[in-house]
Amino acid sequence: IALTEIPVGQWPDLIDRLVANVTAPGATDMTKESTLEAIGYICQDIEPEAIAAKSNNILTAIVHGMKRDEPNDHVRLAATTALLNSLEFTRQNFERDAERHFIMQVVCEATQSTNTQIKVAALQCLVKIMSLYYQYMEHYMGPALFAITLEAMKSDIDEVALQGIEFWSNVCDEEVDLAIEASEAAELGRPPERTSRFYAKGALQYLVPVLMMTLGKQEEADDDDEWNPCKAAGVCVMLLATCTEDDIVPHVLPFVKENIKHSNWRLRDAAIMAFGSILEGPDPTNLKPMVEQAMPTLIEALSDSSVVVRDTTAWTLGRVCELIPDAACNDTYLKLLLEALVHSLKGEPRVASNVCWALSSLAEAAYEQADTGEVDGEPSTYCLSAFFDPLVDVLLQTTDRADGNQCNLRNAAYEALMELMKNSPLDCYPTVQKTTMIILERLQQVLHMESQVQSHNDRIQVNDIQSLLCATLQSVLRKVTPEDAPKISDPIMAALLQMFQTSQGKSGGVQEDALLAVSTLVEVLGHNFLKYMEAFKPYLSLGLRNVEDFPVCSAAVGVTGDICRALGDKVEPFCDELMSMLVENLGNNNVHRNVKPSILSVFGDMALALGPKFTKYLDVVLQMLHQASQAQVDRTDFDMLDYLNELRETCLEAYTGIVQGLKGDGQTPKQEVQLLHSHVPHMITFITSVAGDDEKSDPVVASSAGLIGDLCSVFGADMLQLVETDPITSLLSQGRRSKTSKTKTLAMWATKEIRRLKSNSSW
Amino acid sequence: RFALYKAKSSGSSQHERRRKILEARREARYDLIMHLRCIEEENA
Repeated sequence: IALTEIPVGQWPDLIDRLVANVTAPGATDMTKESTLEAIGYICQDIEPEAIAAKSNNILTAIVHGMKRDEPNDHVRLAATTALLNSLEFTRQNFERDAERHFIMQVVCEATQSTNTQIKVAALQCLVKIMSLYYQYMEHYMGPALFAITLEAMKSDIDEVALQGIEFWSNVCDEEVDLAIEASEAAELGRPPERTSRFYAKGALQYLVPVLMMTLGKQEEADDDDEWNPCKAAGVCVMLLATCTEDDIVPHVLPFVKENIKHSNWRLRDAAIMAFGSILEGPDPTNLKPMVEQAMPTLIEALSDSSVVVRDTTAWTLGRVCELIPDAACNDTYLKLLLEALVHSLKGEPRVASNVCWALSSLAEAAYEQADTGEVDGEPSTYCLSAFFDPLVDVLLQTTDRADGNQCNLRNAAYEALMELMKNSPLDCYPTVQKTTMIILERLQQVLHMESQVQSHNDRIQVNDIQSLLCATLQSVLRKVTPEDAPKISDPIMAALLQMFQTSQGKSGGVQEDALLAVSTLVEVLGHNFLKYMEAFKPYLSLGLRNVEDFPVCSAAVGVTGDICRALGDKVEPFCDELMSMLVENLGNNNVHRNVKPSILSVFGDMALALGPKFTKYLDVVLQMLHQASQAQVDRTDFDMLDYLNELRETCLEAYTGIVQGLKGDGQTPKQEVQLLHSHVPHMITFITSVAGDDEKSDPVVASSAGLIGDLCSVFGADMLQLVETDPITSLLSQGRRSKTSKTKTLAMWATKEIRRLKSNSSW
Repeated sequence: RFALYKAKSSGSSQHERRRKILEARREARYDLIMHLRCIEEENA
């Protein structure tokens, strides 16, 4: 009731009455506990601004209940939990030294309670305080927080140890953010608003030994979904490495060296986990010799007697391939490594799944390392070429394993296959061709299995396989040469059409992946896709009308744009129907908001495709764009701000497509573009409002600059009085300073167009 | 934190594929428009 009434100004005396319940001399323990729980629930869910004015009173009640001399543990626990829930809106109290000292004293005392629940709740408060009020913690870190949290990390009680580790993981998160802020401020030549105190770096020598010890407390039978101190310690070491960079290496390395071949599997595993966890953060050049030295031991550890060690080793080798690829892609170790990985691919699903990930990273690294000869060209060969065909073979076998549904193995094997296809040089093309045919055969087989699906489990498996095959098809299609694409497109399209037919009313995931596969086919075939349009049109319409399943609807909108770009004016016979569905979706409140920006982009695609023939849709589309360009959102919600930027970017894209489309690609702009003349002032008003928005994204600046340049080039000197304004000048200047080359190019181009008009008009 | 740990054994998902397609689409659109603008610049 409080959550409903307080934000609208009702029940104004509630908080005061609750506070009196706790502080009244004769209050019973039961009343105090229940009242503090009520305060906690209110604080947990209410909008902070609705209650911020009452924060003093709330804190009075909470601190009263948390005091060291409170004899009743239930009351103390309820008070500590309430504090945890109220920390967000007590900023004013944290800003005042005396009040902060008092709150911190009470929280630190509560961490020393012998009652585990109170101890854990108080530690959770410290974790949250560290994130919210890092700048005020210097006074407490040395004398209290460091010792309290280090002690907690060593605790035998998992819940306590987890909070101790979480505290330091949070310190790392905070200090990484502060390092980013500092470097951004330095680039702009000003001091940062907040500075790091480098607590993580200073505490390394004390934290690392405790974390190493915790890494060795693995569960015998690991439940993948259970969070425990051992896993938390692994993540904490990774965060420490990101935060402290090279400094962590000398603290971790002695433990690794001492234990990597230990007779106790727990210590061997902890050593390899520690090693894998510090690979991201320190300078790769400094790590490389150390990783190269470790390679023979790691390769050998893939055959360790313990499955846990084999699992962690496969993950660590994956990290090596991803982060220090030169240590793996070299004449000394590559062959040995591949042999060991292929052997482990036949092992337990948890190990094989990590091996797949390692192979994915290796494929990517090898391709990046390959010599392309010329810029943007495809390399003729690379270090994996000699092993490519057998690797693909063994991955295809892995996708077929009966236990492929365990530990994400089937997915991981298909993902690795996709990465190998995507990152293949010219001399591996025969294997790409062969794989394309195998995937197609599998797709046909799985479609035949449709009629045999009986149980819910069968359905999930068949859907998963169909999705994965569609995804693999996308990666092989991207590699197929323009000559080969039309030769294989008929059976591929037939299989996809059959999949649409059988998947109606079933999993949206399959339909979405099938639509994404069609997108790739459209991209590869270009105007040759026209022959499939009649057969595909009914399924495209079903997708566009599938408003309940927005990823499917969104994928259908995307394919519509792709088809427009690929077919050009040959798309015209289909446009009336497509346009009517797109417009209907834009106006439909049941259509998910994420679909709407992509519809606006498609308007631009269609205008470009149809050219002057787009004029019949012009009024309705411009009206839609007018509405969309005036959208406003809740500016306290970051997701909504992102959404607003996306909506604006797609509006600008649509305007650009329409201007370019109606103008035509000839030397003289076509007459039809003059139909836009009366809309130009609105476009400029829109850009001006965007220019004045401090939260505008870089792509919005780029698209605005592009549209300014287009309007200037089409409408000439008339534009000068509209674009020579402070907001637009400042937007273009911001664009010219952008770090993104696309934004920079467009802003410079628009500036040049304006200058050209000015110099012409001065004559 | 758990997601960070789970990354130990998970491949990229449909979400990732969707993101890649969107990126490719954005690039294709940009290239097309830039191509048109370049022609215009040359003509000018």
